[in-house]
Amino acid sequence: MPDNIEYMYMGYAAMAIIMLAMIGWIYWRYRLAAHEEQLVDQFEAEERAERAAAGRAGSRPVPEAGADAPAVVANSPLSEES
Amino acid sequence: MAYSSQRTRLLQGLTVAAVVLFAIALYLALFWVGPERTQGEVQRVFYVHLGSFLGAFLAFTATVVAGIAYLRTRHPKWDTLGLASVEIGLGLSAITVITGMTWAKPIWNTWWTWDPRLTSVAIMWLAYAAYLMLRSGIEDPERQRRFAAVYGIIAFASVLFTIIIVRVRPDTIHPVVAGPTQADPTGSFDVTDRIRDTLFFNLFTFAVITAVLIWHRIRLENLVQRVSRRKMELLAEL
Repeated sequence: MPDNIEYMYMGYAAMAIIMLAMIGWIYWRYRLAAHEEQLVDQFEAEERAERAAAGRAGSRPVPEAGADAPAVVANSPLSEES
Repeated sequence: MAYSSQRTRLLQGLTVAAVVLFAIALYLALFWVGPERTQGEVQRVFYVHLGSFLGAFLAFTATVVAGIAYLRTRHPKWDTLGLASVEIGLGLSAITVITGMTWAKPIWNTWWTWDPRLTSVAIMWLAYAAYLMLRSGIEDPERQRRFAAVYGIIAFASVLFTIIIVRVRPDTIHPVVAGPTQADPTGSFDVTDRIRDTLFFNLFTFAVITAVLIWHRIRLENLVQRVSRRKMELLAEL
């Protein structure tokens, strides 16, 4: 029987390398895409928070005269007192 | 897209089954079955060589099914199956080619020869590698999918050619394990029981591995497409 066991090892090693490369490639790309999705989630949450803050600022009620409004506003020609 | 927990559990179960089957297949091929009398230890490569070719064949068949289904329905999920199958099929056929080369060196005294079977398998591999390259060169998604579907169907001719060639060309030196050849028109499967059992177990294992890898690759593609879509939506909102 011929002695050629090193070629058998070579064949199985090549198979293992290609299999691991295929699995590793899928796994690595999955991790990368999952990380990107996390970033998109984070960015969307920040956007929503910013919009909510901007919305609150836009609909904030006008402060009552004399409370914490500046004096110049209270004494302006458009104020109720005038 | 959210997956049902039932499907996820099935995929996880299949993945575990594939790992266990692969471990058993390796044990059978490397320890349980004895070395072949005339070829020696290198013959053990044959189980992986044939198994990976079966896997590639199944993957490329899935590409044809996906291509036909896409052309009929125009649903992108079939395109995803086609792409996943080609990538996995290419990896498995690379295993077929390289294990074949490691077997050929001690048996034929050369790593490679332009034998009809070897040439046809090289053409097959290049045809599917070209699928990925040409596909990535098309920007319009609808055109890309249509092209991929048609190309995937046509490229399958190279797979059939690879299978048939050893049965019709008398000048090939590649062995034929089963079925009729020019030299033996009645066909034969002259192996011991242990070799036969190990071979069939390896074939089954590679079929399961192929299905699991394609399924994981489909999930990856779905995730990549979803992230890409969400990024585009975000950019449009800004």
